[in-house]
Amino acid sequence: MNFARTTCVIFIAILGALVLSACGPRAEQGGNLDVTVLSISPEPAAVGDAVITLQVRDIAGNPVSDATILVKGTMTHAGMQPVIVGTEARGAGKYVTEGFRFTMGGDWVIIVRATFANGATAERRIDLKGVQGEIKMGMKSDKPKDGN
Amino acid sequence: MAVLRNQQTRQRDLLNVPVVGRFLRWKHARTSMQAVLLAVSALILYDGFWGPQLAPKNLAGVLPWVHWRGFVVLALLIAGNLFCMACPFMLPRRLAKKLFPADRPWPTFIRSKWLAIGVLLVFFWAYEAFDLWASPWLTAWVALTYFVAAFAIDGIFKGAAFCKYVCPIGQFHFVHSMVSPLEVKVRQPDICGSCPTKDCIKGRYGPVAEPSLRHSGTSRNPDERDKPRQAQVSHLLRHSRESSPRAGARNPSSDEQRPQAGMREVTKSPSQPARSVAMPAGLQLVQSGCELWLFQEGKVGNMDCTFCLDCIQACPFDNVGIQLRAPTSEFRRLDQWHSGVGTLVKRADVAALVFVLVFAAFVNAFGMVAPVYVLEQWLATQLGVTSEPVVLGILFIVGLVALPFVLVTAAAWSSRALVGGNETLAATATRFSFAFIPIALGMWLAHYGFHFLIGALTVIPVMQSFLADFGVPILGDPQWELAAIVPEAWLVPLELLLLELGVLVSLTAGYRIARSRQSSAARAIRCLLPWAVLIVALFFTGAWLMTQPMEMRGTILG
Ligand code: SF4
Ligand code: SF4
Ligand SMILES: [Cu+2]
Repeated sequence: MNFARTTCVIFIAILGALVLSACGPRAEQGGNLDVTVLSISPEPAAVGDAVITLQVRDIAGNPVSDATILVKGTMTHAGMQPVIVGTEARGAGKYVTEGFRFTMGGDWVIIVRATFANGATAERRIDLKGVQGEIKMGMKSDKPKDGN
Repeated sequence: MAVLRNQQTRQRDLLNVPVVGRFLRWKHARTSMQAVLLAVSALILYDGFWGPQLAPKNLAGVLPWVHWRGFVVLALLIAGNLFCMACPFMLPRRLAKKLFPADRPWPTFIRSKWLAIGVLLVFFWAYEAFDLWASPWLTAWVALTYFVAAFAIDGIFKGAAFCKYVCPIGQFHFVHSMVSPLEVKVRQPDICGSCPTKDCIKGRYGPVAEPSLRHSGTSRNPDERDKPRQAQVSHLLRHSRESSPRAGARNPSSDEQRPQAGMREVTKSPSQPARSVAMPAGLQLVQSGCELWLFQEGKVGNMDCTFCLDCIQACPFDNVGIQLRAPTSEFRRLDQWHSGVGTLVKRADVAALVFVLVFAAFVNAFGMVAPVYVLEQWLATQLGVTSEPVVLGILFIVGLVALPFVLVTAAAWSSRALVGGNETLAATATRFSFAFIPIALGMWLAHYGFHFLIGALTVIPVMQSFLADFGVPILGDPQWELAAIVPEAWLVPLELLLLELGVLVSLTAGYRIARSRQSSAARAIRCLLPWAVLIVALFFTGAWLMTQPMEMRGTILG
């Protein structure tokens, strides 16, 4: 009974701690990087090859042109192989992805990872919802009109 | 003949398989499996609450929705209800049993599956409405709610009320394990017939603080230890041979491979296994009997069995095994009275549970292909509703309640019209509901198997990154490109194969069920026809769903 009581106290303490600290999900770390998606072609985003053009700035708002930028596309559902590609710098903080491909319809998350000349890194996450899939066999091939 | 039968039974018993059998007989086998899963749950809770809120990067996004779902359906196909066997929610529950009286009987008006059906419907809806798969935080909350619910309910009520009447995961497993190849079952009914203790249901009582005599592994002298038991078994068999013409002709003690020792002289207490029964002074419960109230002597099939193996540990005659059987063998026994369950063909609630799960297999997969978004958008426009949970609520009521109700009633009516008879529509529907379980399992396997096969390896980088957050980098940078374990080209053929297997077994089961009531094969086929049409229609729906490209999206309404 003693053992049981001790375990119970521990269990309830853990529960309490969880409940107290779990009032909201942890905020994403933005990093000292400001990334904007300038365009995705084709537009609206759909399954298949795509080119994403990014504008990268530091927190002071200055374009970052000498960083190595990696773009990782993943989905909101676990268990998908992410798409990881490099980018080509186009000057004035503009980068264009090379060989990016939306492999599935649905909600994508684009993670931009910058490695600066001094070796420091920063990451930024951009949500990209409703990449359009295809409908096969029998259904109208109209794509859903919700490219949000 | 009997000898032969018994030998065959013994051979096809999982407990006789060298390493596995030895492990499963170990008294702490179940606890050790639960402890492992409890540790995994702790990781899921931790990462879910505090980790990165991006499902593919979080253990709470990966482990439950990619791995766990894949494992459990595969386990149902090749073994049985292995999830309940290793269920992590059972450890806090056991603690609750120790701490609280746990002596209230479960209220009579909810001693059925209706409550669990309600919980299941809410879960399926919430999964889509709140995109549980995309939110590690919500996933962790669901797991935590589970722990608390099992703890609270079983701290108040007798036996395994939570498992039997509430737990939606349990119901999923009870239903689909009806077609699993393993069943916890008595080895020699003759022995039960003359068993004086009925410990498998009542539990075993022993002197306080006396170490258990059973569980061979630790004793040095097995022959000595087995003597009392062997004597008792011989006596029982002699007795049953005298009283029953078909009783076993062999004394099992002679070829026992792993005999269990220790017959206990226990004052017999009332037949309820509950802890609340007044027990003789100085005795305490040392091994629970079946907390799901399945008495081995009358237990039929896997419905409500958590594979907890308590009965195996409790039976003083080592008379319960985990036996191999034909996956459709349960369907021959639907009219038989099942201990702790009743007669299945009279359980409309069980049939409703089966149909909800059958249709859920398809609706759940439908939630992941593009046409559902078109449908939702259309429905939202028609109804002028902008709230996604409301639209999904309507879709789920239609897909999991109204549509099954209409289709099943129509099939039952046509079946009766084709062969006559005076069975009520509800009884006919209940009888044939079980024939749908294989196609449902086929669909769950195809869907969850897909997620597992394309994503099994993603756990490696997620674990790497989880450990790296604690300053323990393993094997360098996380290998994010790891994902699938089979080439993508295999997926659709494999999924179709599973569905085909499901439809074949469903049709076979349906025929069995029909034939058991009809005088000729021709009549049985006519009786089955409407059900077969429905089964085949589900198959084509599933096949169509599988060939749709899967999408993973949360927000649908623009
Ligand atoms: S399973 Fe064991 S304890 Fe239960 S009735 Fe049979 S012999 Fe007795
Ligand atoms: S004790 Fe009951 S639930 Fe557990 S394995 Fe035996 S029959 Fe199944
Ligand atoms: Cu899915």
